[in-house]
Amino acid sequence: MALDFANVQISRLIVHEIYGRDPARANRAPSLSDQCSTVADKARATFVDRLTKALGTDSHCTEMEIAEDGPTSTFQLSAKLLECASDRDFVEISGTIATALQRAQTSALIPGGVVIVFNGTAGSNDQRFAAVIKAEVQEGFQKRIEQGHLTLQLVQDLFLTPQQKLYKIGLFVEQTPSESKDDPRQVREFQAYVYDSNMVAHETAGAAKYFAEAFLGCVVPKTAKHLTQKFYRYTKEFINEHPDFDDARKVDLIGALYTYLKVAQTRTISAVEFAGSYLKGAKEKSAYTAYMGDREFPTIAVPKDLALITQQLKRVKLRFTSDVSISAPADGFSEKIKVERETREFTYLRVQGQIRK
Amino acid sequence: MPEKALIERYERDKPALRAMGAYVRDRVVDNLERRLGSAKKVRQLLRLAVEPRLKDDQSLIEKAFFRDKDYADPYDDITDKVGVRFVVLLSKEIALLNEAVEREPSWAYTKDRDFTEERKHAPLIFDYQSDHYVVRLRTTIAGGGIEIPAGTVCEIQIRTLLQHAYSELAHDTVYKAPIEAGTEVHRAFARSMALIETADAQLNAAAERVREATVAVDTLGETLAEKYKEVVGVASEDSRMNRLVLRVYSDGITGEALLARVDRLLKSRPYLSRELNERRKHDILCRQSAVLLVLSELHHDRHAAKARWPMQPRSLDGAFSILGISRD
Repeated sequence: MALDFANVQISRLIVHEIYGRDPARANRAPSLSDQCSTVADKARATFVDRLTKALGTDSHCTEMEIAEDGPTSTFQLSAKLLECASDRDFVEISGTIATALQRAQTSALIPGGVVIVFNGTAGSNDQRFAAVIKAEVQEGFQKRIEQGHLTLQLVQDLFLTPQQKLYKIGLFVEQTPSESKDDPRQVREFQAYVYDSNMVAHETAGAAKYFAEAFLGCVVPKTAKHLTQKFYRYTKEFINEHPDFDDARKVDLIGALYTYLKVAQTRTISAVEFAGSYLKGAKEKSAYTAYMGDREFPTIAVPKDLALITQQLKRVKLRFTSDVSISAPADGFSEKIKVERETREFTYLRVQGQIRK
Repeated sequence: MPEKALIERYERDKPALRAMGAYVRDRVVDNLERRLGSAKKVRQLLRLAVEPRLKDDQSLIEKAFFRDKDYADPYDDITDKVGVRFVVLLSKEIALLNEAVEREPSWAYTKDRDFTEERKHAPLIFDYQSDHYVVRLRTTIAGGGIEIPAGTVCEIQIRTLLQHAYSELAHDTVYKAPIEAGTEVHRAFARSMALIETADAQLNAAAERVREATVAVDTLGETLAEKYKEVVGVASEDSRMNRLVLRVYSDGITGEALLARVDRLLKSRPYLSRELNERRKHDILCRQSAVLLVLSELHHDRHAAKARWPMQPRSLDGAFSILGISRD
């Protein structure tokens, strides 16, 4: 079922701090809190707003497959958070989770930060969830009034600002309740989502994947290649079928689709991202969003896996009503073939290069 | 000299005449207030300050003795020794002033000029336009500490701002000039009055269009406010922001269609009441009844709704969050 990250209610929340590896010194143990915190009013609203930005419709989070489900896995620990009878149990389990995260940060490149562990319900059906946020701490300024004038004051422990690169979120949402509270939970009873800007950008494997893989025990789902293929097919159909696109635009957009899938150095794809980059105006974006929505394509991001479409992405073929076909490598397509002008009877193309003997 | 006697008599009468002018103004304004419901509305209706004016001595002498009028009793026959002028914006507002003058019980009135009638009788003529009344006090009254005798007379002029502009420029120039105005001059003035009449017709139509649209939006606002109270349990704030948002998103939608949309939204998002209750404490948008309209538009087509938002994008963040949508 699609993620509906609205109607968020938080049951318990706790804040810990973890540290990066410093090769010069001995490793510092995480600072674990022994008490839960409450967020209320505007703080709660801002917190939920940040979460919605990262996990809501049109966001860049992706659904992941849970690979590690042993008793010490983050998945099982998070599932246990849902059943905590007392604050004390919650505090203890969350501490274990935070420690596991610090341990997963094997590279010295990875900074420490604040770890927020919380659980609650979300969606119109009040599905239970447990989540972990790792937020890097940053510096900023606060305005202060001193002796009647405005001045700036340094704040050194800001986190969860709108700067999305600085936080990562792992979310486990319960789909079906368990029969008994003691048995280990099954992976199929949950859905996992990860928000991690490092996963979007094409960064070096190890450091980028520590959060989703080493810590959360998740992998790119098998459905990724099918979803990528669907994305390619549906988007191509939309481009061909949408009445407002003339031939020149269609050719441009096919080129854009190729660029988006093959060339762009991102590791996730999403309909809203494609719309934002290549479609113009609210009308086109709405039509495309509705088109993809009707075909139940996810409204969040999908890990890019071109396994099923590498062939299609090699060459682009244009077929004309006169049974003329012209094909070009998808790479640089927009430059190689351009539609100059079209009348009702003819299409005038500009083709790069000369006819080969 | 009859002139000297005239002026002496005039000087003696001036205090009472001044008092009469003020009395006439006050009675008309009072009648308007009762008709329109508030002093503010009267201020919006009357565009120029209403100051009674006494005819100046020279004009009185000229009119009595030197102009081509055959007065039996010059002093009494001149009815505009004191005059009050009311200027409005649109010709359709003239009727309000007519009513305020005609229904006043303390005076008898005659209507000496009626521009609507004049247009009908001489449809090809474009000249000075105003409504003129002469009112005559029925009984002696006290006004401003002075006794105003019964029979005191005052002229009331009612015109639109455009007619006033014409009058100031044309009528006073041509009518009272010592020279014969050439045909070109008359023609030019006629042309300008024709233009003024046309402008007035256009302005009336435009004002009517605005009024219709405003009434439509106002009714919609009331419908939404009721719905908000029903959903959230508390009255909405409905500040200027509310009107702006309503204007942008209402788009000619009827009250029923709007309620249907909001009900659809509530059905798919039953937790809305709780969220709005919590967020209204610190989010101004959630205190406006228009938030229901915004949410249903966002729910229906988020790209279009976002594009039309008339204020800072950040102020829409709460609404996005309520629906679980990530705003870029």
